[in-house]
Amino acid sequence: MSAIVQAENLSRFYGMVLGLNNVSFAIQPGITGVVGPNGAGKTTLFRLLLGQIRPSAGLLSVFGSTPWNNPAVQALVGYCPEGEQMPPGLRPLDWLVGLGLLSGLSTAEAKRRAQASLERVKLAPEHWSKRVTAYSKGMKQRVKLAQCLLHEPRLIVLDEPMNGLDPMGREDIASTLRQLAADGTSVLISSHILQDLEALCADFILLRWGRIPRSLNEGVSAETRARWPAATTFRCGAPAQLARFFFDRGLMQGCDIEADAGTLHVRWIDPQRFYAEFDRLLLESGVPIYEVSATESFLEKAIEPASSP
Amino acid sequence: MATKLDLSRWRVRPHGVGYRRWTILFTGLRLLLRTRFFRLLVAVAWSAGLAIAVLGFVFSQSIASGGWLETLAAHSSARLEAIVIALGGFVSLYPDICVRGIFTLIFWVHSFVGLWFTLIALTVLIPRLITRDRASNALTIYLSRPLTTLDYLLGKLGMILGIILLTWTGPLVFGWLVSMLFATNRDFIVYSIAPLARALAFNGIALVALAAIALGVSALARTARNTTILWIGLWIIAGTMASPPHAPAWIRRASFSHDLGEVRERVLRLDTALSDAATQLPLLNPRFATSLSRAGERSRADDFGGALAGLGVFVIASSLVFTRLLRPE
Repeated sequence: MSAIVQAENLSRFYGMVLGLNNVSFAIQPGITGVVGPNGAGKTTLFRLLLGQIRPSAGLLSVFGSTPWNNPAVQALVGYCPEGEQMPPGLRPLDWLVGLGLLSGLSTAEAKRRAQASLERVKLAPEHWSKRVTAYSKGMKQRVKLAQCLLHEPRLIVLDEPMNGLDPMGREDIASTLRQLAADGTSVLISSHILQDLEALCADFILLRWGRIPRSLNEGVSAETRARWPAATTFRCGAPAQLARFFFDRGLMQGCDIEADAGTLHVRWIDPQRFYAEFDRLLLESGVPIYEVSATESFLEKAIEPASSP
Repeated sequence: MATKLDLSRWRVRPHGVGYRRWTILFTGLRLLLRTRFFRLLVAVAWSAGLAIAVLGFVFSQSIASGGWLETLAAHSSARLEAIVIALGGFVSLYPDICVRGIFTLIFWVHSFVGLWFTLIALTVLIPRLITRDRASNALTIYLSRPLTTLDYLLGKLGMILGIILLTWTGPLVFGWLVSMLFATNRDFIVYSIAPLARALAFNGIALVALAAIALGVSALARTARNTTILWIGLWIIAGTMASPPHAPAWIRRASFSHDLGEVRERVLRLDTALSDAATQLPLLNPRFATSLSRAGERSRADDFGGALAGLGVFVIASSLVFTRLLRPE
């Protein structure tokens, strides 16, 4: 499968300030997550892809063309920015129709697609004619997502689309994005909610200080993600009894027990041994289990050095 | 599992860039015309156009033998009838001076009215022009569409052009056309063309200056209130400071309304029309001829070069502001 975005030695500086520094990457079709702390260069990367800023050095191609100031590329890309970017006082349906016209759609087609987009992001029709000033943050996020689906782009760039959404809203958006990906649309998404990204994305780009460090990106490679987590958290009825059970079978390297929360964090000697027959082991332990999860997500683990001094 | 994707939606070719620029213009004007105040303003502006038509009609009737003006005067008094007949004679003998002079006067008066309506309309429009898009950061979304900054600016420029057409140029041309429909002879068309062309030339100069200033002011501030304050400051406060007769030249040139006033006097040439009437028409009353001469002198542009330079500075400074603040990076 050929890459939809290709960057070679791409740099972007704002005077003396570093935006992106000599990064090379390729983005394949599907859902790709962009992860990094604030100021890592995520928004700079997005604006470069959208053709709103020009690279200071290096090459960037989106669908085989240079995106800078290139309406032909912009017509293929949809953008959902991070902030609240809607003119107050407008009704979402009117706004979306106007944006559809700006994308070159006829009035009838713009109206049809505006309604379809609002339906797709699960915004109830009774809200379509209300002014956006009366909207909750979650509803505004949905309208922003709808505007970027309006012209049916081939690549959707989403900057923190999950911000301000409750878990159900996040799941709604995630399922919409999965459906889009299944329909052939590629998605590039940044989010600080790493669990959501892990569940959603097939690929990742990790940014730090304007660079894409190889060590970080190896931490999120497909091979790494295929490995079992080295530590597991159990929420259960008797954490101490469960710890003793694992210890007796020689599975556990160490553990932390939070008796009040009924939680046990286990570090495995060999995770493969536990996960190969975890269902039988948990039944044998006789302890009521409420939840099993990886103690640390691979994304958290990968970007951990960035947050530590 | 083999999946078959329907990608035909990506082969549909959207409309071109001209359509997208037209969308900005049309959507902006449509939203503006939804406001009651603006609809009222446009209605009043077109009433002024109707007034031009009525004045032109009345004037053309003055030389029509047996026209309704002459009939009305004959029914009133013999003196009034004599005045009307004399007026008709003047127009027939000196059509170049009379027709050109009267239409210059009509267009000169309308240029005040049209400019005033345009400035009021711009007060409503300017906060919606660029300020709102910048304040809400919606500009980021607009420019992520297949739309360059140039397209965006051309669309906004089209909105200003639309406003001026609706409140000034449209009524002017409409009034002239209707008055010509009822003209009693060709002289009215032949001799009113030059004043019309000069009125349209002044319209064009005002369009360039006001469009640049409006875009600059709208791009400069980030809230509708600040934009309105800035615009009113530039228009009314600077205009008031420039109005005293002994105000320094640089203060007068710093007011775009004063500069436009000077340009109006030079372009419309009311002074020439009045002087020609005073010197070439055989006016029986010498005091009236002197009054016409004096009125002509008073309406002469004193500082046309300075005013034009002042407008040039406004246009350049405003263009720098909006191109700087709206450039994509």
